[in-house]
Amino acid sequence: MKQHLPENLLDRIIAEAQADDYALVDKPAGSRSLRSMSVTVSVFVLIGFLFAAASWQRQTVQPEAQDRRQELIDRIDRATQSAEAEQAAAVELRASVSQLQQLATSGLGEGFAEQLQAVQIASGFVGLTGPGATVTMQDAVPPLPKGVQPDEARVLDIDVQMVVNGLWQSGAQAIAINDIRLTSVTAIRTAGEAILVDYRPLEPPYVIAAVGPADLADTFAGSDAQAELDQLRRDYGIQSEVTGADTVTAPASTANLPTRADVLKGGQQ
Amino acid sequence: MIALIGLIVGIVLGVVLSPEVPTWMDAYVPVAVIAALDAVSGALRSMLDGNFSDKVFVVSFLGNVAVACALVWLGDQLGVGAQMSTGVVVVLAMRIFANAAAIRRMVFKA
Repeated sequence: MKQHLPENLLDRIIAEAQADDYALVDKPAGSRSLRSMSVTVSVFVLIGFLFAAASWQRQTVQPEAQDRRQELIDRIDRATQSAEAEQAAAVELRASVSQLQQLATSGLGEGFAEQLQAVQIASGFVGLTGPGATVTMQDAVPPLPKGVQPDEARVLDIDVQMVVNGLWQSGAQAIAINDIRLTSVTAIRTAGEAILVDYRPLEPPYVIAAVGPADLADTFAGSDAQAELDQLRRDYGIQSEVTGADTVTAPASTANLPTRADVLKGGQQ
Repeated sequence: MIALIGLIVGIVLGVVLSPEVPTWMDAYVPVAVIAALDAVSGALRSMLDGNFSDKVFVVSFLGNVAVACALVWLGDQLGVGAQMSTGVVVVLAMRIFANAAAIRRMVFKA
């Protein structure tokens, strides 16, 4: 049984696609052997299995794709939010920059740079290197003076405080104890047997570096603090040494200030 | 009748085993399903026509599935995998439609 195929390509494709396979084959009558039957049935089983597998695949793949989609949406949302926050921060910063620029160009800016530097040094915001003096203190070593218990022969927080105050008095600009910069809110305290500066324990020897005038060591030598140091040496055997130096370094403070100041609105400087 | 039972057995087997289809087969399973549908509709039509043949059924099914998957694979290699599966699905769907129309005509005489 031959079909007449149309000339038109599209029609031909359709005609061939729709051709009935069974009609084109000469059917051998009554060839229903057991073997061909079983093959047919197994092909049907295969087809059913294929259907079930395909539907199963669709059901399992779909939620996964949805999950991934949702995750992407979440990520986009998060990125958008952080971008918005950063934009807001940028706007705020730009406003404060322009405010500061105005401040610098207006009359208030006279001597402002020097003031700012002085504040930065005083607050430990910047590190400082320059001439100055170094005071080194250390616990007493045996033999101890008569009648002194080993417990008493140690450097105390008040001793360090005394030396620091003496240095400030002698004209020091910046002081660091064992490389911890002192600021206006730095505490020098004792906790147990250790001396804490900014809540960080110090290890002896205590090296107190002060940046200041070139004659700082000499000024300190004539101060009450030096007299007290001499007294400590005599009474308790506590060792101390004051040396002048051309380059003393006080690093910038790394402590987190507990408070944050804001400029008052309304020009009340 | 025995074909229907085979089909149901296959579906039950598939549901019970719930096989995990490997990722590389993702593109071929839908095409194979359409080819299977075509074979089943063709078998149903020929049964109603009274000229069903085991040999034609088995050979046409396996042949169509093989050619369809091969075409999709070739399309994938050429970068036109999606279009190729569309073409295969269209041709097979036309066959299914023709078979369904013939079955309809025979069953409803309309």
